[in-house]
Amino acid sequence: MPVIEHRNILFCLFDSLSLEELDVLERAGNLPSLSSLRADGMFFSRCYTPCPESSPARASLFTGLDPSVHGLWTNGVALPGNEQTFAKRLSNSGYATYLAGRYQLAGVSRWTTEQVNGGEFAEMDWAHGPLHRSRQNAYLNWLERTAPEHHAKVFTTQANPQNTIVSQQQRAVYEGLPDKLSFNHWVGERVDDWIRSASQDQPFLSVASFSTGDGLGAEPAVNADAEGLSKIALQQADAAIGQIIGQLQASNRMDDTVIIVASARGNHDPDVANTVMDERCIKVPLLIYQSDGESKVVELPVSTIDIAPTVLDLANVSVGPRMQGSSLLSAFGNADSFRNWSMTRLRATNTNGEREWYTSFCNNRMKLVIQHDKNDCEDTTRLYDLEADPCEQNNLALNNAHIAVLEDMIDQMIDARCALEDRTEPRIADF
Amino acid sequence: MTKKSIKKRPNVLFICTDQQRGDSLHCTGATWAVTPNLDKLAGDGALFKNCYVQNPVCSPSRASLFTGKYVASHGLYANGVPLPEHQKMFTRTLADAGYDCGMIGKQHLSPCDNWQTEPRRDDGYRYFKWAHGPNHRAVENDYHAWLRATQPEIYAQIFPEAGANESTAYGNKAKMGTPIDSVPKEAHYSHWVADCALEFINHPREEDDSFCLVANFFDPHHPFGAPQEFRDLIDSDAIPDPNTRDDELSNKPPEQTFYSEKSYAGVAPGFRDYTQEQIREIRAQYWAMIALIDYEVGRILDALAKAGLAEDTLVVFTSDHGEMLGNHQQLLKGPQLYDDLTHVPLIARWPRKVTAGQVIDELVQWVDLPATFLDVAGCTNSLGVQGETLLPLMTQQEAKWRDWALSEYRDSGFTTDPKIMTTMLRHENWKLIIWHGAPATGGQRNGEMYDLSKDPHELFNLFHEPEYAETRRKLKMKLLKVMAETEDHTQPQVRSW
Repeated sequence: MPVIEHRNILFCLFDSLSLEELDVLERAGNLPSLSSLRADGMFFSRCYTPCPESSPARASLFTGLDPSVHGLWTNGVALPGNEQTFAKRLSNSGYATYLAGRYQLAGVSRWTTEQVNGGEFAEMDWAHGPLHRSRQNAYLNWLERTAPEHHAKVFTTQANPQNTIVSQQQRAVYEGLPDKLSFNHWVGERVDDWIRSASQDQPFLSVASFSTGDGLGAEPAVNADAEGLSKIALQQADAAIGQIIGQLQASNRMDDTVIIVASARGNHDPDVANTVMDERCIKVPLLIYQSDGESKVVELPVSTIDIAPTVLDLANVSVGPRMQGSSLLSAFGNADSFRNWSMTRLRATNTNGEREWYTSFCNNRMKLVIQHDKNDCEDTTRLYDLEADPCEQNNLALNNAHIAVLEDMIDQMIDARCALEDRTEPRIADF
Repeated sequence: MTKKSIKKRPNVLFICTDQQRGDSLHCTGATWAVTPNLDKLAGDGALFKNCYVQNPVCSPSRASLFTGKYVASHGLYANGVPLPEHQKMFTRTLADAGYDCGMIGKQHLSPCDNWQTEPRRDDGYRYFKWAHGPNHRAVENDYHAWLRATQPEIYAQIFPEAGANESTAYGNKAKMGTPIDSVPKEAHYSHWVADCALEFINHPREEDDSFCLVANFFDPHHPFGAPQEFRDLIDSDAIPDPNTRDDELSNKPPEQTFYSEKSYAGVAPGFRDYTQEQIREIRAQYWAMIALIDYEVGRILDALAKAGLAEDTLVVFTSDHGEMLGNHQQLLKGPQLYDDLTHVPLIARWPRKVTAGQVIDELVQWVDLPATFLDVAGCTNSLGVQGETLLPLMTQQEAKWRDWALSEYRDSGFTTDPKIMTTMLRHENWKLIIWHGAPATGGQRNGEMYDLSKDPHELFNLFHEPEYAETRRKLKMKLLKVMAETEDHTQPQVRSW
């Protein structure tokens, strides 16, 4: 098939990376590749994840469905086999498909290997994270082969599925590895090698799935050094992206390749209640770079459920009925017709076994956050005017003067919930 | 599993009518109703006073029954939408567990418009006698096959080769009963359902084998007609006039005025197309249909007793939704979420386990029924049922029960422009109904709110009354909580992360 009809897709995927965090590092000049893509590409300044937990967020990103529809509603649940990701759709449409790094559309605790539904990627180098001790962790196998002395330093004992908390010392040793042995460098190398050997006659999807944030593939835990670690990891990812782009340029493939940079979710700190669902938690970077595309910042609220239909649109592959997001290409051309709101749900259980259930809704100005299961108390409800108060310091829900706005936002949240229900099956008759 | 433990599993006899109001039985308040068999069934078992369906029209409601999921989760949100392929049916689970499963009558998990035949799914049935309705002209209509064989003259008279009723909207457009509705009982659809049920119950089985039968009556669905023998049992004068008040619709969402003029979004005659006398006759015919159903249910229960199976059979009687029946100046069904449409009868009898004569006030829902069937059959919830088993309520165990019921209409009946979507929350003495606006639909956001302790007939809409603003907001918050609760969280969390 003619290559230009079906562009190549290079998808750079992050996790636990908020837009705010990226902004800070970019401003410091530490991320040259990402800064350059952002300057020349379409950048979405208000992209929200439908879930601040990793696995539901990634399932939504790959399927284009809200977590209430695809069924992977919290970490540790597997994506039902009937659901189709954009990767599978591209594979079925003749794309060569590859992923290096994290996938996480199923649970991987106790160092288990992720069970990937059939037909997702033709090839995969799976590694949930640098410190995830599944025997199938391709990065660790590579590290052990390439630099056994370093591997031995990071892991001094056998993997214990009963203890998946990584010690500070292990983190420190991992952090001290030379850049060339880092997880994100390895992801970049693998993607680079794969693209290099990919056939010129077949369009490709290649996903570089990086590790950032504090988890590193171990048990999600709060870590004081997370910011420092994340900064280094992000710089390593930026360098890796730069290397891949350099190779695409050298082989004259930039013109028929679209680069997408996205994060599935922001920084979710489950132990700090008043930060759950704040903008750091749910607002994520998203940019789309095409060599012939215009440079633009889109300020409409969009959702990561829009990414899958956008990828298929860019690849000129039909979207299929079972998708709730909309291609963001229309957001450039016809802003009026595009969704002007976003909803995020957290349906997690905390370490004490209690429900941590929140729902957040924002429109182009206001944001409402509701905590469920707190005896219907309205005092846990948060209402912010994001335009006047972008840092969410002034909770208007506590002020009776804003009661009409509060109820209007409640109404909009109810209607948004209704809008996101599963009505993907077409109606084919009157009764 | 040993033979002995298998033997303990009860049969499940699920009898379901179509469009039968919750208050339509003698034992649920209709003193003019002729329902001795159903009243006795309730007296011998448990009568649920507050059972709600998840949707007020056929196909989405039935999808909630067979999947145990709320409408937002199972994906069959409207008549004319097939149940998505990946959704599973509880009858399949029971069949896998060794139950002999059967289905009689109307099922409606796929479109049946244009005389389409409902395709078989992975349903687990050995016995399948399908007929979408008495006037439905699909070649596979098993009722018609039976009628041709047993009453050829009646069949030939009503369904001549080039008959008058070739329009798929025939039954909906009929103002009163059609000829097939008033045939002698021996030729009636309701009689055919009971005949098939008898055949299924009396099918030879090993002593230890259990069955699950889904017997679906079409009545008291419109057209409003019944055999004269049963119309004669109804004292029309004893039936009260429709529930309404002067100028009632002026403080209801304006769509209800439209539905008062025409039913089914313009497809069927509306309340205002009838004289008062005709509405009275409609109500009399409605209870005549119920009297016939009661008679046929009696035949089924007799057969069960004669086969020696009554003690070990869980018999459930219910209906998929109600009928406006002229109340609130409206007929048939649609986006209205009055108790007229969402509240249905529910009786459960299981002599071996359930104490006779119980009246249960808890808010229960249709999604609880498959959970109950899986529970009595000892099956795990592999199909993702969202409801809860009713067994603890019936066996007087200490049970913490939900304090709400939810019903959701999603452009589910005949479509409108803009599409109408409504959501009902029942909670304590309140009913909140949201008429959704953007971004769900292009319609104007609106609502209804009733204090059922003071206004049990839902005549006074408090939604816009300033002194109820705080209650309204609290109920909306409760609704958000309930909607979160009813998201599909049935996919198992097999790992902690």
